[in-house]
Amino acid sequence: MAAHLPDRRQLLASTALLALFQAPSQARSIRGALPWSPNEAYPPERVLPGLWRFFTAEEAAAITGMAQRLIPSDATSPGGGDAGCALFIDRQLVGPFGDSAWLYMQGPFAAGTPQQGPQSPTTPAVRYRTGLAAIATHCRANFAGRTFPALTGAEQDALLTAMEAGTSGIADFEDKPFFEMLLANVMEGYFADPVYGGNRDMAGWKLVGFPGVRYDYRDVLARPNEVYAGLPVGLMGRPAWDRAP
Amino acid sequence: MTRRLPATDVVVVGLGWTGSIMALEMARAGLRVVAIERGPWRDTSTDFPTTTAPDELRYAVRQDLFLRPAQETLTFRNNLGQTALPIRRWGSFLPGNGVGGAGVHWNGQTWRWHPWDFTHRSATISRYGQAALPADNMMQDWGITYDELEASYDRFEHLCGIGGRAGNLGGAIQPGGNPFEGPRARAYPAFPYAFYTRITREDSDAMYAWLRSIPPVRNTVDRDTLPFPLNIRTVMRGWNAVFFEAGRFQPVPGRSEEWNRGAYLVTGLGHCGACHTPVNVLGASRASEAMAGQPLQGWFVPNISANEYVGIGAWGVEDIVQYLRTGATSWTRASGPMAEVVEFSTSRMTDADLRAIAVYLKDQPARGVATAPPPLSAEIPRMRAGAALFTDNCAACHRGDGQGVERLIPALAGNQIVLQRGAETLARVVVSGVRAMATDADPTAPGMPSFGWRLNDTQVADVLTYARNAWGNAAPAVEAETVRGLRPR
Repeated sequence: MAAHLPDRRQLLASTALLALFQAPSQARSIRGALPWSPNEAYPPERVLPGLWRFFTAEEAAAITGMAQRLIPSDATSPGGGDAGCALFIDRQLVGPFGDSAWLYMQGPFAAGTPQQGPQSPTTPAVRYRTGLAAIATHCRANFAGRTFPALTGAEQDALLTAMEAGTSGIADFEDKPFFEMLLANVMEGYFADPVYGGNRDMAGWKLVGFPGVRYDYRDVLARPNEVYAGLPVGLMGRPAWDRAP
Repeated sequence: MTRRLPATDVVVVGLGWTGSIMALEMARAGLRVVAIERGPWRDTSTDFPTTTAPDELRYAVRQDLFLRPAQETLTFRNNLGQTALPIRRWGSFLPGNGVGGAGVHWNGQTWRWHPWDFTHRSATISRYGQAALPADNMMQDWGITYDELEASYDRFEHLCGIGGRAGNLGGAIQPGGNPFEGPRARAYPAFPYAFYTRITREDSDAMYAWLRSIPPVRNTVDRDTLPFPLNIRTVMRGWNAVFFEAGRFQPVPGRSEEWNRGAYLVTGLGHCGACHTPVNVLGASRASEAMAGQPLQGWFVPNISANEYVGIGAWGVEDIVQYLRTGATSWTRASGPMAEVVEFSTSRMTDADLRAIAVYLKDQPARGVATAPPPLSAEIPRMRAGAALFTDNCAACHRGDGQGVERLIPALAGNQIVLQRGAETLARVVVSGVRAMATDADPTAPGMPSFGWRLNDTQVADVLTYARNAWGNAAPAVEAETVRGLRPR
């Protein structure tokens, strides 16, 4: 039986581990014991409201308006614009998502099949910049100089619906792929942890009853068919963590 | 630049599941193994703590942890008629990166295949007939059967400590398990469990002979480390006159040989009181408070007198022996400076010596506050905040009832470490995290994640106040000032 037991010591005693980061000169050699150091943690960088870092003020207003129509406010929850989806997307676009830094972006580029996944050479940052410009030009030309935020709710819905269907007719603009990216990012902003700038006051999680950054549900699983009554918690906590005045 | 590395027997490229199992097997066979990994080092408590692991945007959507296609990708096509194109963003499969490889996203679950899965083609035809498969169906049997692989499944599950309830033991259906699974030779291992190595007694001659066999190393000792006025030799003469009691240990008549051996080890070689006994303003141990515990270098050295509230009064001799030998009992684990004591010293002692230490300690007078104060009310603001903090940060591992997980996660309810007069140790492990010690007898060292990035000083104080006053615990509240001094500078 003993031969089957984990024996990390034995492994480490005769194993050295070289973790290679990019260049051999940066290799870290590990032997003898597993490394651990105090205060080591890798939380995400916390987004704080402030100046826009990617969007212009006009672009931010347009994204806020679109998010507010994609997830409208009602009696049950604030809308996507109110919940900070534009701030979320702004910060995502200045990170590795915006310039596709983690993705394979070398040629050759070809259309490919749906099964071959995204093949576009254009990054989200470029798609937002050019797409929002095309939408603004279209709105000014077709709605008497008004841009998206100044349209009526019905006009906004009609334009978004046409983009979703690929029938908006906006010049120099692939409306359907842009709409799909926008909708995905707005939902990410509405439901991702508030640390990323959206989901303000955990509004998205409260709307759907999602518990947030909880790890263990055994107590809950022991009580099936009950409505989950717990309040959500984010990576940076919830109001109950601080003493009541 | 090319670097020539020392020659080794085996190099394993990639330390995921496959690479690490091969490395282990070859190391056991006596080969020198070097494993090369291109990503970062990763560990549970630092890279996958309960606090950040549920982040769906980061891990599931943006695919942090995985090999980035920008680093390396592959091309893909469904058939020969297509042009293969690079996978730019992972879709159907997710190659891992860093130590652990794809093992980092198994969600801790491993399942055996069903016996049918190995012989899908022949089993389908035998049961449903040839007509059940289209003519161009390319499904094949694997060429290996469940029965042939069962011993390997069993070995892997026991190596990795896969928990669960067996549903089929040698053909007998087991209540509570999956009745449809393939037959198992034996039950799941349930937890990564410890084994005990025999510690042989080495007499002092052998130690001396061994020490003499080590090549001498030149090491210049920094002699000027004592603060004024202790750095003046003549002052030490005065200190010695007052506090130093010279003399070899003399057995106490009327006490057993074991008790005297324990006294010799605790008060002499082991010098337990050097840390566990509070000192006066001149740095001398106060005999009247022997083993009562004190704050020291950012930790609180616990009371190890026979005090039943905060000391070892409620511990059995066997508990103390096990703790000193393995660094853990079923409810607590050594960490911090005591982890080093166990790792380098007490884990190497004989059972007889450990037992002697336990017998002697148990017989020492109880020191410190003997009984618990009334617990703080659960309704005061700091206890309410502490309860919320505990639920969200601690309960996943230490459990909502503070019982922990036996032999793995320390219990907080009734644990003397939680109830000590000073909360320095508690605050420190919450802020900075801690790695429990590993010994040969207990090689899996669980880690406590660092919470310093997430909790402010008041929140750390309040969650500790709660843990010290819940589930029957009772101890003074912790103040934010205690936490502030333990933040990394």
